[in-house]
Amino acid sequence: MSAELDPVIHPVHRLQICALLANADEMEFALLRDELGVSDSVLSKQLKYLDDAGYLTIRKVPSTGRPRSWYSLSKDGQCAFQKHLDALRIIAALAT
Amino acid sequence: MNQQSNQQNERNATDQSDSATTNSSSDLQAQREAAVAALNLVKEKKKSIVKHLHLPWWQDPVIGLLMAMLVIHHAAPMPYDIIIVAVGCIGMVLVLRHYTNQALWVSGWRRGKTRKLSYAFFVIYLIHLFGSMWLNSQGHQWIIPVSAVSIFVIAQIYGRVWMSTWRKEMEAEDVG
Repeated sequence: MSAELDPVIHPVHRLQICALLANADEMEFALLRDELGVSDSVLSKQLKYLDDAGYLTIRKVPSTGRPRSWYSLSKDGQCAFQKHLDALRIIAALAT
Repeated sequence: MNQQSNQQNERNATDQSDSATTNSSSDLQAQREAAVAALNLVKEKKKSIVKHLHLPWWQDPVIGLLMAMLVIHHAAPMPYDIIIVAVGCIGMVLVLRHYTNQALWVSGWRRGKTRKLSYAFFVIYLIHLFGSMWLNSQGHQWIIPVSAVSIFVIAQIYGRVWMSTWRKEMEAEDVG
């Protein structure tokens, strides 16, 4: 097994997003923002990185005012996150 | 003079080698610490999910009621039979839509121990449905209220056991 970290997932905010979405079927934008403690723009930027890599699935529902958006990890995203966790485990274990 | 110079070079090489070993060792230690910190962060986020999943108090009783309707629909004469099934299905769709429009939702069929519980509940539902149909066709009409109450109670138990199993899984130390 190789210990290759995924550069898309590795930054701390994206790692947290993946950790949250890996354990939920869908999570709304506002809850992700509150859980990460970042601004809307910072979260949007991080989500765009993940979306561009094909790691996210987005569901938008029209609502009064801004449309509400739910995010989930795509199959590729789940697979990449699992590989990233495996790599972290290997690094943590190898160096002991 | 040359001998002194050679000894000095050897000392330098030894010092560099020691320094490289120290650097490599500290790099490895830093990588390890970063990996452990990242894994702890993932664990922390996994645990934090629990406080965000809110089920309204009425959800399990309504699901139990709708399932009871779907189990005993066959006992009603036509066209009430079809009306009961339609109300049961539409009710389920509305409850599910309400659930999936929360800020966070988790499927009952998600991977893990909870999936086994969901399969078990589905099998119990089918046993209730076909068991009550068969017994009712044999003239045992007592099965109608019994199966309705039974599936309602089992749905409440399933809801609570599912939630408790899921919480334990989220709060477990492994990161998945």
